[in-house]
Amino acid sequence: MTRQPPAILWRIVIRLSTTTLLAILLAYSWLWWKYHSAAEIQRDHFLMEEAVAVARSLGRSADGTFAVSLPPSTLASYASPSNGFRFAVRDRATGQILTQEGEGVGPLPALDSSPSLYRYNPDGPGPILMFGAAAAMTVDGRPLVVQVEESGRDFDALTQALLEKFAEEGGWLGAPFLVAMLLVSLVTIRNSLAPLRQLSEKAAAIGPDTTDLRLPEADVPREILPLVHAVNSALDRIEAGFRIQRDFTADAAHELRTPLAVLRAHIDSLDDAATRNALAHDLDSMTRLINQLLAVARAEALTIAMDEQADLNAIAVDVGVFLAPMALQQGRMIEVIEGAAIPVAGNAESIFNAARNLVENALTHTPAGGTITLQVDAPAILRVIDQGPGVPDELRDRIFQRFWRAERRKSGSGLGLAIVRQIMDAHGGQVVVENAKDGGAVFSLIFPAKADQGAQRR
Amino acid sequence: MRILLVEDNERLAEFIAAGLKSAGFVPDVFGTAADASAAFESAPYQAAILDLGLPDGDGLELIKTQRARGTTCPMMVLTARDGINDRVTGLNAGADDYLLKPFAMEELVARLRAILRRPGAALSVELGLGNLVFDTAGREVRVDGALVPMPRREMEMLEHLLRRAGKVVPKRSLEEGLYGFDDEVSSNSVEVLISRLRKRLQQSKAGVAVHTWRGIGYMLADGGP
Repeated sequence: MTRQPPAILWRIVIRLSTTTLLAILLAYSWLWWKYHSAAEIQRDHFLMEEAVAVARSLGRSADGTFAVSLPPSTLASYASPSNGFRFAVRDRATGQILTQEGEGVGPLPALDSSPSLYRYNPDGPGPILMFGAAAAMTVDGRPLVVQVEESGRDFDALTQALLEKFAEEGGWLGAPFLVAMLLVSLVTIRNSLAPLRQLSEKAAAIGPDTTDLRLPEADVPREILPLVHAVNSALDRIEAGFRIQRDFTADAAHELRTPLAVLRAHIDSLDDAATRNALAHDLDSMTRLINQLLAVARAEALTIAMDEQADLNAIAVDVGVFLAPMALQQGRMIEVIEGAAIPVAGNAESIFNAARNLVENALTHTPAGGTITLQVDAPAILRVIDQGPGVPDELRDRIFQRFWRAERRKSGSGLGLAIVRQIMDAHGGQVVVENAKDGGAVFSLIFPAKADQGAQRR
Repeated sequence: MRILLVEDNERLAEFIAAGLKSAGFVPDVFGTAADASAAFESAPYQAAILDLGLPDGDGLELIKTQRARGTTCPMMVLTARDGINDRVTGLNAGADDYLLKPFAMEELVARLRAILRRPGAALSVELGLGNLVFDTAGREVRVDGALVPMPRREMEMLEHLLRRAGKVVPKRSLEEGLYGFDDEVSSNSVEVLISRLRKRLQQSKAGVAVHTWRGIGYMLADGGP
């Protein structure tokens, strides 16, 4: 994983912040609306009560004019222009104002019942809205209307002031809540995703030669478990496919051996020595090819056990012992120069096969009378040095490919060097070809030094 | 010499039987493990050659049961499986040798003769290569019938090489052999003995040569030095 925070983290941070902000906004709106409607109801009640109170206190003075007899403090609140309160008593038929307090009231409302509420907009779509209550009454047979009004702007201002006060004193609680929530999610996400890092490291190590590796399912968050399951079962299927392929090659090679044995026995029973030898020779090359196919299958399936150890010096001598009769027959020599190599973690049989393939290869390219040298060098290198023409630079990679053959290889299956490479891969080592100073080819089996062997093979 | 041959492939069995006959053996051929068990009970065999994959059982099981019953005749396994593990399993089960298919008839006959010579089987007292004959019981070496006098240590070494003629005997195993009869083995005593032996063989006109494989070992092969 790179040092950049994973995208999923950012997505959660952004969504969580948005949600929290929306929630705070919603809470404020709800509070505002709740307060507003409660205040509205209160105001309407107040206006109606005032209208009725004014109506009740209305009387006719001695001079025949109409007057209200309200307590002086109440009258004062009407008189003060900053309150936005006003009332008026009007003739119901003409609309004529008989008495009033405060600024002028609005037009005469239609009065279906008494008392009733009304509202009007004195400045069109402007910010000021007037709320009013009207009560009908009859004084001395004359129908009158009492209008009590309040300016809406002032009321909104009051609400706003209250909300501001609230935000100032308690509203900031949302901010630490948001920060805390973000921190908790951040830690949670980091912790939950930590196993993914280990998983991806494991997954990176899976290749065609390590199809037996599986992603660990312990400590994986439940949400990611289906993915790990799916990957593992996909790997199961891939491994099964690989195994079928390998087993087929191995089984086919084995099954071919009995018919080959019949053929060989038949050829051996022929009377004509020349035909017998020629056929036996052909059959030998066919047998070699089948043995090599089997070796490929085996090299592909090769796994090195943790405690397996091999001694390169002993292997070099074993290969010499094994191939000396063949070398003698072909008029070539094999020598072994032992060295102070450390024991390598590896499978002795397969390393033997790798070295044997190299020496067989060297025997075909070394002229008669020549010597093939097996040399063991520190820390853990087994070299096979021949006296042939060497390998041209441009072919140094291609000769390790399967079924690759050049004029250099007059006979053989074309699999030998591919097997060598496969075996070295399984050991976490490599096979390298160079040319010796005197022209021959030098194939080196280089095994990892002890220290990094642990890292190579878990 | 009566040989038990157990091979379920009829054609292969036929050819092997013919090859054995022409080499002077008398083979009895069976195709199943059951028939082979019955044959082991009914007649004494000097050796047995068994295929591992039989239609009614495993050749290895057959060897194990026969060994458990005290059958001592040398047994050779024919198999299509060539892993070291397969080989070790076969030898642990009580097989004396292990031959991978396909094989040359010559090879089968040579190996059969070799296991017949081993202790426990009819012990052959004479080892021969080219015009050289080694009498292991009488401790005599003859070239073209003429006695070649030889010190004991050289003779031991010659026997060692002769028993594995045509193959390389690793230097280490020769050294280990020398410890048996000589307390002081200097690092070059094998070389010294080999060069003396080589000289003696040359002088006596033996048609065999001791080849030195540097860093590997020594090989006795027929043909002039």
